[in-house]
Amino acid sequence: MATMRRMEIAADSLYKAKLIRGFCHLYDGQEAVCVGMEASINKKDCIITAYRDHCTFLGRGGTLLEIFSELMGRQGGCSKGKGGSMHFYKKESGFYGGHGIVGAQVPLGCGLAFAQKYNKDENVTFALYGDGAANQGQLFEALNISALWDLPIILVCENNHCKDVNLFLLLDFLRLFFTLLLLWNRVLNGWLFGRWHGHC
Amino acid sequence: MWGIVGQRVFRHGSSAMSLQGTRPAILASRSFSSAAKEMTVRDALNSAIDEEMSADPKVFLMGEEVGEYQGAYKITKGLLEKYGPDRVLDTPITEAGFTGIGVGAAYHGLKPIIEFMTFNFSMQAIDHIINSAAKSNYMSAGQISVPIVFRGPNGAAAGVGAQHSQCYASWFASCPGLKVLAPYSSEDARGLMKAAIRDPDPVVFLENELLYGESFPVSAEVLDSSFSLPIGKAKIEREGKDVTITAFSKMVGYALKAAEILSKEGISAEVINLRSIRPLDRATINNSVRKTNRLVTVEEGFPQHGIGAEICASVVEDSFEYLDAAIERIAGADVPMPYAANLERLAVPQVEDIVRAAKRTCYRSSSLAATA
Repeated sequence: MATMRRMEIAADSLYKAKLIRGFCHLYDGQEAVCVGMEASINKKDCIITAYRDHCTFLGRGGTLLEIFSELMGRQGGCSKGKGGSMHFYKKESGFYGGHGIVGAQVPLGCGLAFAQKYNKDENVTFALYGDGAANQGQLFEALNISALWDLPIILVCENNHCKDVNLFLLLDFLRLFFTLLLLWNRVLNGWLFGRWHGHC
Repeated sequence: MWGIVGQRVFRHGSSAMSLQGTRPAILASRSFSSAAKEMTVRDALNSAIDEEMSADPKVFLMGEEVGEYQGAYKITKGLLEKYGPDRVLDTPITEAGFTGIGVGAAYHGLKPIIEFMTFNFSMQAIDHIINSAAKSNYMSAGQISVPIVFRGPNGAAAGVGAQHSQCYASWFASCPGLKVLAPYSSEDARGLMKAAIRDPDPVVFLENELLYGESFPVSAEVLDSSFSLPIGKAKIEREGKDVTITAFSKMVGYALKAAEILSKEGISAEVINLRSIRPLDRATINNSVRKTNRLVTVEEGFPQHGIGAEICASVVEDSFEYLDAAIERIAGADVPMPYAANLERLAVPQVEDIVRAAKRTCYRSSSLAATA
């Protein structure tokens, strides 16, 4: 977990130095999720996630060199520099990416689970998604089919509140507005009725 | 050898005269009837899928009504009874969901055949076709391969209106990572479907609803379970020397009829059945244009950024000096498909349009107006 944290902080610095281009979604703060998962599964169980995939890839057996090379677009990267931050894969360890379209990884994960059931494997698939993807229609379509067909899929929602950033900002403004309104009301009362001290 | 017999049958029709003239002794001893075996495109597709499912247990079928209903157009008839509900799966009406599940299964090594009731509904799932299937092999630097087939009827049917009549050939053919096939005859349907299922990459297989019921002669070679056609090779359906006409799917039939009409007026047209839209067989097309010096491209879809546009560009890039006339592009009208029968007829290419365009390239039209 410590390695994962330091890796993500280093990636952040590299991104700000423009050595990593395009997108760079960081997993610092969420490390416990993938580490906890790995502790109880094996490499024949499959994991699929969205674009916040650096630590998940490391947990599945990826190396720091492969990760940083890929982030900086080098040949030594796990996708030979052709994928970038959002497209890490390690098929031999059961890691199927690394997907840029919000929510798309959930039906894909159900497909992996379908294949495990079809092959009569005794394994399961973990499809990770976030609070944003929780709104996607295809998630509910895939859940519906998984329930109908009894697929060995485990959906893991990592709610990092990324989707809510605007809502909190709005709530902050509303809170500020009402505080100012209350303050103005108190000042007005005090000036009009001379009630500066205590409440009436 | 069987293939050559089959090709001769195609070129001259299935009249008993020409068959007796070309049939070698071995074939005569096998079949006692005077006509070659005929097969509908529907049966060709059904038998191809059946044989591939039988040969490889990783192949399975998924789509709406493919199982109990025997297929919306009966293409998958009998397969549920034969292979069971584990391999022939009826889905709810959730294209995005089941296409994603199919692609995920392909990631894991299975070989799904995903049916869209028509390709108009593929737009609901197009993110999975393009972003999850087509691009994954490249983005993963070869780690993830996606041996999936997306199949279904494409293009105009009859009276189904604007939202159910679009041709998606050029949309899918512009995307690197996809292979796009469009069969015309039963031989095409069998050979290309088998090639698509065996292919390790995602294949978009564009059928045509109005061709399902049409019968074509098939040789013994075509009926063999190991038969397949190469992806990326066009077929010269009819040889000619005055003008090249390229077409795919239902338009091949129209082009062949146009070639018949043109031959009576002294114009010998070479008809190319593209078979493969991506990769496009640029070599065959260019060689033909270098021979005839004139080109008419025919497609059912919308004209702008269509298949004809790509063929024009290819010929201008590779064979410009060989052209004796401007290239003619025949396509569907640039309008959403109308419902009324007379308007619908005007919105799709007809045989007369192809004949007129071919005559224009030969400077034989009666007036210089483009609508002549």
